[in-house]
This record gives sequence, C-alpha cells and structure tokens, in this order.
Amino acid sequence: MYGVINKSLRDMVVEQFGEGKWQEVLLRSGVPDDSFLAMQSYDDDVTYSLAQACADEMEIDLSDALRAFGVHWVENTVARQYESLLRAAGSDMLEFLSNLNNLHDRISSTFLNYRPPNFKVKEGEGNHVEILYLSERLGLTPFVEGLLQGLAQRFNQSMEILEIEPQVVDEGEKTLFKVRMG
Amino acid sequence: MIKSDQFWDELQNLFTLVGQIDREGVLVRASPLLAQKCQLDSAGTIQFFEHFKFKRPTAFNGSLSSARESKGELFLGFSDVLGFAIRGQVIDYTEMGLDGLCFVGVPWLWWIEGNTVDGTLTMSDFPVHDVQMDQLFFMSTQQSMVEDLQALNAQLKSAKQDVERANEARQKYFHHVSHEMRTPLNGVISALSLMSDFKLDGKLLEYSQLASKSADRLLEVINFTLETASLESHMKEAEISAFCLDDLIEECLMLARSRSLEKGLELRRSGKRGFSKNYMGRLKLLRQVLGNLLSNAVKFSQSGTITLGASKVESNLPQGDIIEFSVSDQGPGIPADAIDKLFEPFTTGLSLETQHSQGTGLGLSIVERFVDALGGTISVESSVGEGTIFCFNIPLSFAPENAVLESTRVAVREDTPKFSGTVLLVDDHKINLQLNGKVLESMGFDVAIADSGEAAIAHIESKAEAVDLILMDLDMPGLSGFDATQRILEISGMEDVPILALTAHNGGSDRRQAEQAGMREMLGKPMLVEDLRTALLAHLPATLVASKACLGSEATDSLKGDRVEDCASSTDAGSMDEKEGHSMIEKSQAPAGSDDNKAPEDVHVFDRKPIDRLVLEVGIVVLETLVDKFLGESTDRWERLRKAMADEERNIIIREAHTLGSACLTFGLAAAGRSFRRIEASALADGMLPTAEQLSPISEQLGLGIGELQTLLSEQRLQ
Ligand code: HEM
Repeated sequence: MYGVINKSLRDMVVEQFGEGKWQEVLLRSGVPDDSFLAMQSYDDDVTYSLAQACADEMEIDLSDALRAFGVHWVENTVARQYESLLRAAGSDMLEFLSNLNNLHDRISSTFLNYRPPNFKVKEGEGNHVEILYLSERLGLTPFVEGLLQGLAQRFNQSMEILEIEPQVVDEGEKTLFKVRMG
Repeated sequence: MIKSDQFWDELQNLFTLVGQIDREGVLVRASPLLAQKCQLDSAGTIQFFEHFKFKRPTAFNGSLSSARESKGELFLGFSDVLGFAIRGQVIDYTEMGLDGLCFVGVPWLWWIEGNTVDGTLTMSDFPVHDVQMDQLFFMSTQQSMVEDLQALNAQLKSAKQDVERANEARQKYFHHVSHEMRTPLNGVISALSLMSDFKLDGKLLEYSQLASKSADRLLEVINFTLETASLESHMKEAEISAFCLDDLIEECLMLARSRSLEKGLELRRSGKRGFSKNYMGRLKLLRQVLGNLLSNAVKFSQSGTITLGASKVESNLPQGDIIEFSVSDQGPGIPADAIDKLFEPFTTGLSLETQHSQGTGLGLSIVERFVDALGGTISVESSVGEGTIFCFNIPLSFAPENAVLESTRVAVREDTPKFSGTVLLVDDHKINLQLNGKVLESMGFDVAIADSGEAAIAHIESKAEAVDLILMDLDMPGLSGFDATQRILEISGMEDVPILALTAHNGGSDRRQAEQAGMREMLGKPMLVEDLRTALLAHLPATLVASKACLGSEATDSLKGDRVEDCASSTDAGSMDEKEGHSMIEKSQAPAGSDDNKAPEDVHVFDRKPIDRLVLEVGIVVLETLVDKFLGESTDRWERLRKAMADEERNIIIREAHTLGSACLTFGLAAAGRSFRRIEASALADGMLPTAEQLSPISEQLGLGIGELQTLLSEQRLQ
C-alpha cells in the first residue's frame, strides 16, 4: 500500500504511545526503516507486519488494532491532509459513502498502481443501511469497521453496526455491514 | 422540444457551468449550480461579464465585443461577493439557436479553495472529466510528500552532524590518549636504554633488546595515531591557492637535493619546463605529496637517478589542465606481493628489519590520502633491482590572470642574489656540513663536501669537479684546517682558489695562523649568512655572482642570518664563552649556551625554538632527515663516550661530550645538551674525570626530549 497509509499507522502509535513505543513496534515488525514517502507504493506486507506488530506490542487482537487504525485514518490523517477532499465528498455519512468510490477512483490518476476498495450503499427502511465492502485484499474488514465509526463521528451522526456478514468470494474479501443510522 | 432547448440540455450534461449571455451582456439562462451561485432567481438582471472579475484572458476588458474576440481562450473569473469562481470558455452558439454568447466551464476550484472558508462544493459539482479534483488530491499528497522529504532531510542532516561530532570526538580522544601514552612510554624507552648501560648478557640481553624494539615500534604506532588525527584536520583546512608549478617543482627538488647529494644520487627533473599558466590548487597537499615521494626515493635508493616529472596531459579542459606527476628511482624496487599493501600505514615493501632502520612507511599512506584529496589516484610500478615509479594525475585549474601567487620557497629566494659555481665545504661535523651545505645551495652554489682535511685534499686531487671556493673548518681531528689549506694551495691549479676559515675560536692567534696558511678570511662559527655573503662577494670572481644587489636585499631574504646562525650554531655553543673579538652570541638570539650555568635539572628537556627556526630555514623534510641522522649518530657517540668514561680516556670524553652536547642543543634537547656540556667542562678541568654514572640522568633527559622533538616534528610536518 502507499506510504501515506504506513505513515498514518506510525503517526497513530507515536501520537498515542510515543516515539519509543513506535521504535519497538518497528523493531518487532522487522520492517527495516520507517522513512515512508506518502506517494511511494510499498509492499502490502509492510502494512500488515506493522499492524500485527502494533497488536502484539499492545497485547491486543489484530482486529482491534485495525479498528483503531480505521478511526485514526479518518479522524487524523484524512481530516488533516485531505480535508478539502473530504468536504467535497459529502456533507453526511451516506452522501460521503456513495461518493467514496468516486473519490478513490479519482486518486487513480495520481496513484497509478493502487488497488482501492469498492463500496456499495443501499438504504433500507427505518434508517437501516447496508454497506457492501469489496476488496482485493484480505483481512481489512475490521479496518473498515473503524473507518465507518470514524466517519460517523466526523459527520456527527450516530451509527450502530448491527451485523457484519462476511460474504463468500473467490478472491479478496467481501463484507456486508448492516448499520442503523441515528 | 425546440432545437435550442435540446441543445441547452446537452450542454448541461457536458459542463457543470453553462450560462447564456444575450447581446446586452445579461445572463439570461444558467445551469443549476451557476444559477444558484449567481442568485439568478432573486437578483435583477445580471451583467455576466461585470458580475465576475476576470483574471484571464489578460486582454479581456469586460465588454461583450471583447468577450467575442476572446472566444476559445481560457476565462478565469471570480466574485468575492459570491465566494465563487468560474473557469471555462466563451462560445458562440447562435446557429444552434442560442442567441448571444455562451459560457461553458466548471467551478474554479483553486480560487474557491484559497478564498472561501468552507467552499461549499461537492464532488458532484465537478464532472469526472474535470481534473481539478484529482489535482486537489494530488496537491494535498504532494504537500505531505514535501513535508516527508523535509523531515527526512532534517534527519539526515542531524545524523550527519552526529557522525561528524562523534568522529571529531574520536579524533580528539585518539589524540589525547596517544599523548598520554607517549609520556610513560618515553619513560619505558629511557629505562630500557639505561638498562643497556649495564652489562647484560644471555637471555637478559635478548629480552631487553626485544623490549626496546617493541617499545620503539609502539612509539611509532602512537605517533602514527597522532598524525592521522591531525591529518584529518589538515586535509580539511588545506586551502586552495594560486601558485607557479615550476617553482613548486624546483622547491621540492631543492629540498631533496642535499640528502641525495650525500648519498651520491642524481636528482633530475623530466618533462617540459615552463608551464604557460599558473594554477590553482591545494598547494600544501601537493607539496607534501611530492616531498614525501622524493624523500622516500632518496631514502631507499643506494645509487642511480631520481627523477621528478610533471607534464600536461592532453586534454581540452577550458578551465584547467590535467597534470601528470611522477617520481621514479633506480633503487631496490618493491616486490610484487608488497605492492598491494604499499599504501597501508607502516608498509614500505621492505623487510621489517630494514624498515625499522629506515623509518615507517607512514609517508605513503599520507601520500595516497592527499592525492585522493587532490582529485587523483596514485599508482606505482616497480621491478625488483631496477627501481620504482610513482605516478598520479590531478586536475589543476588555471589561476586568474591577476591572482596573487602563493610563494613557494624557491620563489621567495628568486629576488635574492644568486651565486653560481662550486663550493667545497670541509667540516668534520656531519650536521654542520648539511646545514651549511643547504645555506650555500640556497644561494645558488653547487656544494661538495668533505668531512676531514684529508678528504678535502683527496676530493681536489680526484679532480672530480672544479672547486671555486673552499670553506674550511679549522678545528678538525687529523689534518687541521691550517695544514689542509697549505697543502691544497700547493696543488697546481688551486693557487688562486679562495679558502675561507670557519672557526669558533675567532681569536688573534688563530687569525694569524690562518693568514699564514693562506686563508683569505675568517668566518665565525656558527656561520652568519650576512658575513658569508660579504666574504663571498669579496673573494669570488665576479662571474660567479649573478647579482651584486645582495647586500641590499638582506632584509627581505628568507634566509635571515640570525636564523641560520642558530641552526648551525650549536656545534660550538659551549665554547662560546671563550670567544674573543666578534662574538656570535651577541648577534644570535641567546642560544642555548646562555643558560649554561643553570643546573641541568632547571633546564627544560626540550626547547622548541631551535626547531621552529630550522623548519623555517631548511624545511621540515630536510630537518627530519637531519634529525634521523642525528639520532643514528648519537647512539654510536653515546657508546663511545660511555666506553671512554670507563677507560678514563680524557680526550675522547671531551670530544664526544662536546659533539653530543652541540648536536643536542642544535635540536632543542636543552637539558641533555647542558649535561653533556658539564661533562665536557669537568673533563677539560684537569681534576677527576666524570664517571659513567653521570650518564643515567642524561639518558632520561634524552628520552623525554627526543619524544617531544618527535611530536613537534610530526606536528610541523602537517602544517
Ligand atoms: C480523502 C481521503 C482518502 C484518501 C486520499 C484515500 C486513499 C487511499 C489509498 C491511497 C489507499 C491505498 C490503496 C493502495 O495502496 O492500493 C486506500 C485504501 C483504502 N481506503 Fe481510502 N482513502 C481516503 C478515504 C477513505 C475513507 C473515508 C474510507 C472509508 C470507508 C476509505 C477506505 C479505504 C479502504 C478500506 C482501503 C483499503 C484497501 C482495501 O481494502 O483493499 N478510504 N485509500
């Protein structure tokens, strides 16, 4: 994944636990150095190893770590660096989600070989919403969970995740999030 | 639906912003976003081209006709009041039924981003083919990219500083530790040499010799460490200056000349002389490199020719030349397996034993680093029994026309008078021969030397070369100066050759005797350059004096008399008290002899003044060979003195103590010099002879003094 993701992970650890902790995470991950450049593409393994090392270092589950990272990504990285894009992408959660593919797509002209996720949003009855997440990658569902929570906070909306249903796919990952918006 | 309406809808599908402007300039129809932003419904008539201020096209003046003329150009307009900006072009769709002009385009994102607080646009306000959104993303990422790089840069910078600091600290530490180690080591060395005064034999002798050797070697290593530490700063500081390459080469040759002369080696320059331009470069480093290579060549050659070459390599560089330097000798050569290691410190390509007797190979590792710093690479070719050649090419840029040239030592002398011809210098004291030989050489003479009256006569009779003038020491063992003079003047062809006396006893009886022997003039020892010049001018045939201006130019002469005097002084410093008439002491800056009365303990083991002067006069390269020689000779003399004391041979004691004392004072070994003087004095007084016990404290003074002397020399070498 692109350096911007790895950097964000680092910032999360440094902001919450300090530089020392990050160095331990880095050491544990076996990733040789952390001078990530935002616009450079790194092997996915780098991100996975770092996330796993975070979880191990904090003695939490990988999924908890990814969830926390999801929240951090929206609240900090995106909010700080891409505020104008975020604003342009919508003024409430649902509008934003329906624009998210568009947003990721537009980035393609800058990040040439990136593999963005895909989201489908279906509004149901009584504030029920189904969000279908599709990815070429494995294991990032908890990350999306965090992202969704982060988004809800960002738009000052309450959101309850009712169900997370993994779907069967040949490749990658497909998850249906059933949520209720406040 | 009428055609124009159909067309209007099509336009709205294609462009985010569409507006129709009638012939009066009024916005009559607009797509939803534009209508909303311009408040088309609520406001009255909107003069479109007045509603926005247009940054582009530059020539556009806001009128409808001007807009028409600017069709097809980029329009950038903004309205502070509306907090909105537009980007697009003006098109005439009259034939499609749209009267007037049409504006088609998109929101001008950059202006909105930069000038409104909450830019109320959404992604859907930008058609997918509009790259502004992508750009916005790109810019944001770019921004963080720049920050990343800046942060990395700062990290690198501080890491580099850390490394430099650590390096500096390490160097300082090395320097400090080496210094600290040297003092006790000198103690060890002195103690060991004291031990050798006792009659050791068998294993004990073997072990003490081993200890001595190891201690010496250790001292070398420590000196090396010290040197590398200062080398580092030396390289950093070596400044670029303008210089004349011919002069530099002459200077280097001159410095190597006396030593090669003494070993019977020929010293030559090859390659075309007379570089047409002056160069800019790190002169200090280049001088050191050439000096080291030459002195190595001299050191290791027993016979043959040593050649220093410098020539332009064909290149058409506009700002400079590539110069190839080479130093070749016909010495023993270096075995193939030693060549690879040649530039490692302490490697000379010779066996350890020989190496030890001739000094370490530190020089070449310095040379390599300096050549590297000069922008070249040094290479070496050698075959055993035939000789060795060192080569390197370095770029030198042309000095600007009016550059002030860094004066090489030769250049300084250039404006002082030059003599020519051959002077035969006769003195039993080798160091005197060398020092005075250098002085004469620097005046332009070829110098022949003889270390006794007998040798002088042999030299003249061999007719190896014509001698134009002889400088004769009066006080020599064997044939005295007077007798030698008389015999020389009897040799046919020598009747008119001026012979000048050198003596420390410038008294009346000597003077009369010298006159009787046929000597033209008496010169005091130590030899004063002014006196020598005056005498030379008086006695040399005019053809051998290139310029008579010499008397007047003394003030600017780099070879100031008082300095030379002091270098040459000490041979007889002790007997100065006895001098009558014109005493050298008054002219010299109180040489070591002036505190003769002090107890040796009160005198410092080392006095750096004489060395500082010698460095100025003869240069560090020559001085070092002199010191080497002195150290070598002193061991023998010390041995002889000790034996003479044991055997109670008064005359030998006087002679050896005298010579050792003089030599020590010459090289700043003040305390030891003084002690030798005392031994000489007490042997001269007819009473009890001094005993060998008196040598112990001197050994220690010598050990410490020599240590300091060597430190100073290694410091000086790097300056
Ligand atoms: C302006 C804000 C955003 C930017 C610039 C952005 C950019 C990116 C980039 C560069 C990647 C890496 C893809 C790769 O390296 O192959 C990525 C991945 C991802 N993004 Fe975003 N993103 C943004 C907002 C969001 C938001 C708000 C969500 C929330 C739902 C989201 C969901 C994801 C997910 C789930 C991935 C992981 C890729 C995968 O699942 O295969 N992104 N994004």
